[in-house]
Amino acid sequence: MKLNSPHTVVTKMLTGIQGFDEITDGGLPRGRTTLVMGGPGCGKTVFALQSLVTGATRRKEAGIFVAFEESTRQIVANAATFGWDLPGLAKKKLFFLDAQLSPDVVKAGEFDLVGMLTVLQAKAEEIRAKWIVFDGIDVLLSLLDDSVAERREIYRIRDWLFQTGLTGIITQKISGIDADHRYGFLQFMVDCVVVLRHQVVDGSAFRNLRVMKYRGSGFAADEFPITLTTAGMQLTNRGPTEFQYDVTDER
Amino acid sequence: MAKIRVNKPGLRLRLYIAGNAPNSLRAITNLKAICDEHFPTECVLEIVDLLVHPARALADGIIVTPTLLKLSPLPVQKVIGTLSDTNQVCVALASR
Repeated sequence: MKLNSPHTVVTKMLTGIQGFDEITDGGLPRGRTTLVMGGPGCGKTVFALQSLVTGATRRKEAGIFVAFEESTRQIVANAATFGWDLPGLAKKKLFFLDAQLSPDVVKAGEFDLVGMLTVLQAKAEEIRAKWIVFDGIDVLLSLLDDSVAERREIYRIRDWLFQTGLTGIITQKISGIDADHRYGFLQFMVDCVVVLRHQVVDGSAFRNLRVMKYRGSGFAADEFPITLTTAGMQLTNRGPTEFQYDVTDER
Repeated sequence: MAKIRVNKPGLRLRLYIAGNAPNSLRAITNLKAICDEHFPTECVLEIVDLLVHPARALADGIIVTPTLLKLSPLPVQKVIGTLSDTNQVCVALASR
């Protein structure tokens, strides 16, 4: 087995989220998996969507968005405030897949994602996708109702991502402050973990973002406030650390 | 297409599988056993292998495998999993 030479640095993909690309010195790890965790309404879907939109608009990179929880029509409508022209992008660069199981589906035994991943691979090759988002995968996997099977399917996704070379973003809800232990192992398995929090401190609501882990790269580990603007999500700096250096994105 | 006898009028089924993934193989065996025992007259079963026809999943809205569709008689019913839970499957197939 040929080991990568030690100085191969993790190559990165810009997310277009101002501040995030700076604190990670270039964005998300290319061809690897990032886990975006957070409570309800903290911006997980926006983070994932904005990365796809940036890839599509700035670098003409196609992406697939697999929605397990919210319908894609809902997501596109909600994102209208950001002026990303998702409907337009959806025609050429972005493929939205509705993967919500309707409530009247009967479950009669164990299932797996082998079929779905094959279908996604065919679609990824067809549109030459570089990105893929699994938004709210915990909704589908909790249907398995068996932690061994859930873990097996998560590992199947990880191996599949590694094999397809796509840059993957998995979003996952955490209830309460600490990560939901049921999926705790997810954080160990992925290469990059971003934690989003939405909290109210004596009456005023704050959203913030923290990079908890980034294999193969340095990063600013502090928690940065997030603001949602019409351009999407953006980190505001916390004071002393100024974001002066800009990041080039030519090849 | 495997022909299986079922006494109800024209039970039309379609089972989506993913090659020889264990869950898919189990679903085939379980479904044939259920049809033979509970629906021994005219039951038409179509098996679609998503490894061979991935586009069918997108067209038919199939997410996980194995997935069983009861196409007729209506209402269309979707059942996921290895179909090991026999009475769940029977209830779904008998739904009118």
